[in-house]
Amino acid sequence: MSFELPGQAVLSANLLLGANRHRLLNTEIARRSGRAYVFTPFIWDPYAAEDTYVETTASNYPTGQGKMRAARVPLRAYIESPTSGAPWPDDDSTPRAVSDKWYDRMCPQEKRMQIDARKINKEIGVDLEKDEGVTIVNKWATYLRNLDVQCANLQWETPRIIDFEYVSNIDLSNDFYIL
Amino acid sequence: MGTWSGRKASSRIRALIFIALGTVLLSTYILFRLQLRRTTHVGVDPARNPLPSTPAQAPQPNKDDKDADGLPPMYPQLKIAELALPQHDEELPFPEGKNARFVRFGNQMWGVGLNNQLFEM
Repeated sequence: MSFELPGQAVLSANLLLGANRHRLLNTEIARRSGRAYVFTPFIWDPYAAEDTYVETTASNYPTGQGKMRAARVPLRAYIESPTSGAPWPDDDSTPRAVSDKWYDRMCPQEKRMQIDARKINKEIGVDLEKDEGVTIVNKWATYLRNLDVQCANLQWETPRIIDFEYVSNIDLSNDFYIL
Repeated sequence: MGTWSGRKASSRIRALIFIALGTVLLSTYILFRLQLRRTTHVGVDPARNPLPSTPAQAPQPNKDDKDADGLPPMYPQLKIAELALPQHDEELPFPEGKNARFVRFGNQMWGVGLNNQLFEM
């Protein structure tokens, strides 16, 4: 895994791990379920058009102006790993991750199964607040593996499986293969 | 009485000098800023980067992977490279290709950057 920002300072592994942990762990869920992970760019504003800048509001900037940011930054600007579509090790038969654009092409809306994380958490007995990280990952991976649909799509604005609370108390080095 | 009025006069002069100096400094600053604005516009290709007509209008994206106009890069080459990944091929044998099984985590977070996510460490 490379941690170099193009043309910028090399960031510490921990910093980028912090910024991408939910992606890495979601990739692990996808890997354990035998599905291709769909990676997305860094999105500042999901409503802004492609190749536009958005101004983030920041009243605490001394200039009184917000900061201009690209509405979407491709994930590969930050990480080059199986999470952003790099090949898995040779002995791993997991399909490689694909970009959201490819997913849109292969999985038009009518082919997608919309999954409400809240419902499924109840169904498979996951308590995001109490369960251990590995348990959550394994239960979700089993659920997604047994699901007989090509295009699984976790719905927007349903609880995130991997969230701040969860990643703060997980032993990444022991439990996860991709890290 | 005489000393008192003298003091008053000198404090008036001091106030006048203060105001005059302030005005000179302020106008110098404003002129400098105007000059700066004028000079920064020189050499910008208006077709590639038209000047915003109003302050509210967002600047145009720069098409190179360079931070030339003070805006963050758009990484067009990386976007092309992402589309050209070898797994984006319908002809590949299962588990990839046409019948591949996908999972998209649409509930992943967005609108947060490195600075926000440092918080979780």
